[in-house]
Amino acid sequence: MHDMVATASKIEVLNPTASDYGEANSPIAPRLETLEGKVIGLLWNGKPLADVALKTVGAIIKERYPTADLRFFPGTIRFTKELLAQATEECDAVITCCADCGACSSWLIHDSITLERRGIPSVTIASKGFEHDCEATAAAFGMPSVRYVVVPRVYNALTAQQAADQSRPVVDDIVRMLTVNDVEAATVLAEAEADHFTFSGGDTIEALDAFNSFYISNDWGDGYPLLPPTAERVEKILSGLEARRDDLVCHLPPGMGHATVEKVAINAAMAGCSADETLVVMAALRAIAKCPPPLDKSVLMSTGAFSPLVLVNGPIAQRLKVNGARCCLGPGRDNHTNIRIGRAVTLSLKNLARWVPGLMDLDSIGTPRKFNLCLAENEAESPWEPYHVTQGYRPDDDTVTVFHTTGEWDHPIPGFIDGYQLLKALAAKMPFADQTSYLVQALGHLTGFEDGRLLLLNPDQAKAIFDDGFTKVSAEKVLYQHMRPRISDLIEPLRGRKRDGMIRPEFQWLFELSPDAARQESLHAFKSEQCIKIVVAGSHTPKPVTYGWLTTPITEPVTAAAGGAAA
Amino acid sequence: MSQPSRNQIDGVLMLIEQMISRDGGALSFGSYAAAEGRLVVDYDKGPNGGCSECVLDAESLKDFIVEAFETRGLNIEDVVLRS
Repeated sequence: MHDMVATASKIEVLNPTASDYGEANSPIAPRLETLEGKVIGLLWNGKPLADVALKTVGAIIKERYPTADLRFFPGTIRFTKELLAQATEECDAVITCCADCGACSSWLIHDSITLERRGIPSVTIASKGFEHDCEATAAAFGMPSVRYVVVPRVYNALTAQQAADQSRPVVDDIVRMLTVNDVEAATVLAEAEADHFTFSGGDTIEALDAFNSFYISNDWGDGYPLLPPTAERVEKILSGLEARRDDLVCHLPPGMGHATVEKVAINAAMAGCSADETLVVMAALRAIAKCPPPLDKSVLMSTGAFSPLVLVNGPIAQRLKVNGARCCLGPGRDNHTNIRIGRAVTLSLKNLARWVPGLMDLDSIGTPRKFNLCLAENEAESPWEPYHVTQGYRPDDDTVTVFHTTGEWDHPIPGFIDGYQLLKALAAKMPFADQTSYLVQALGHLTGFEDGRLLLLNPDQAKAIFDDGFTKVSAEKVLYQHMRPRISDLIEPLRGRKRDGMIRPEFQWLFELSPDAARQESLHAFKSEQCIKIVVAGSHTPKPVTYGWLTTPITEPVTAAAGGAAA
Repeated sequence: MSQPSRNQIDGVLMLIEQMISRDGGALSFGSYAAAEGRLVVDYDKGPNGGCSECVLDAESLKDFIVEAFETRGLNIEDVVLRS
């Protein structure tokens, strides 16, 4: 045994939080507690049928909040100073419409930022295709979190009825964006100004305890004890990278913090990562950042329990000992690399992107998936090409794929007749009713807003399916074709959406079936076969696990360059 | 407010350019006279430049450039758009 010698000790650690958010960050205005009794301005920029949209939205809000005072303000593409002054004077919140051309999108977002800076919460209604203009303007004027919702089509291409119809489904989002508060983020920013912190104690353990206590109380960790990100530890990571410390890895959603190489290295150091493991972390963060807006923020800021799963493919998985075999998503020695990488991704999201409960993580209940989800594909024992090859990479490329997961289900198949029957059995046990976004209009028109399933299939079952002649793609197709729930089960969770006019027109017929017909007929649970992904993982026991996912999974190469350009 | 560095000017112009680039517009640094606070920007309207709803008009663009610098605590007194 070694005696612990109690001598005074101190440790100096680096600040893990982002130095900058956006380009010249300003938080949005504090949101309202309720719309009841408030004056809500409906600011029309003169675009055809945008007035219909605003009045439709206003009427629904009035129904829900009878004491709200909805006031209509007609204007022009560039709101006059007088109109903005009047809105500031009279309104508690505003809704602006419509961003459906380059110039009007820029002006609407600009004017919304002006009102936000005056303390007036605002939401802009934008048409699909103009998200880029909204994001670009928000970045230029230093308020990347300014709120907007997206409707499917440009208003002036519609009839008045169609304009009203496409506006109703976004009312929920508008109300949420006017009433959900995340301005406490400014407090976090203020605390993050110091470059480093020093902690003292009677011995090293006490100093470590003081460090952990401070970081955890600031919500700069995941709740478990952290490794101290000392300058030496961070420099060791940086010295193993080709990128410079100030190089930008990405603007990381949801908070759009500047994830520089050094800041990522600090968070990786807190998880115990090596330099090579930090490259994997950086690739995962870039994949998260490449989720198209507004889903990049929405999926992480949701009140639902979404969490990124990091899949590592290519030779780097074996070299770094990222486990894809037995219990690869569990705890323990064999998963040490998985845990370090997954934890560093989580810490980076928290500290560089404000993915903190109550700030920008608005999850209702939470999930242990938010601690850590990282695995490799079991490429050595898979009968099929690896996942990244199906995405267009070469087998010797190193990649990371991020799935924004929605849930986890294990569904053992105790025995099977043949590969085809096994696929049908897997389809029969596949959960489907948690999300059915392709049927509804709420964000349903946005690219990538599809639900899907990631099936982690053990090697023996994969081989049985392979031996029956199924490629991975054909196996995914069989799963898709056999996931056909009864229509009565499919529509039951959607009756509220139906009441609110949010079912897509092409699926209205589902609700017009007789109860008997709805019980007898079935429908695909997912939008297309591309929504089903198979990855071979785990040991040889027939116990597959399925994750739900939302938004198209994004694969990113692991490169030496911070921003992901070719090394 | 302080005077912008060349890197800061390029950074702001890059952000503003994002608003017009989808319609083929482009911005680039022309010159900067720190004493007068005058920034000359080369402006290519692109093929949709004649569409007033597609692309920001020149006055809007100048106002946006000045305001984007102000947002960052940087002073630009005058912007000249050079076609």
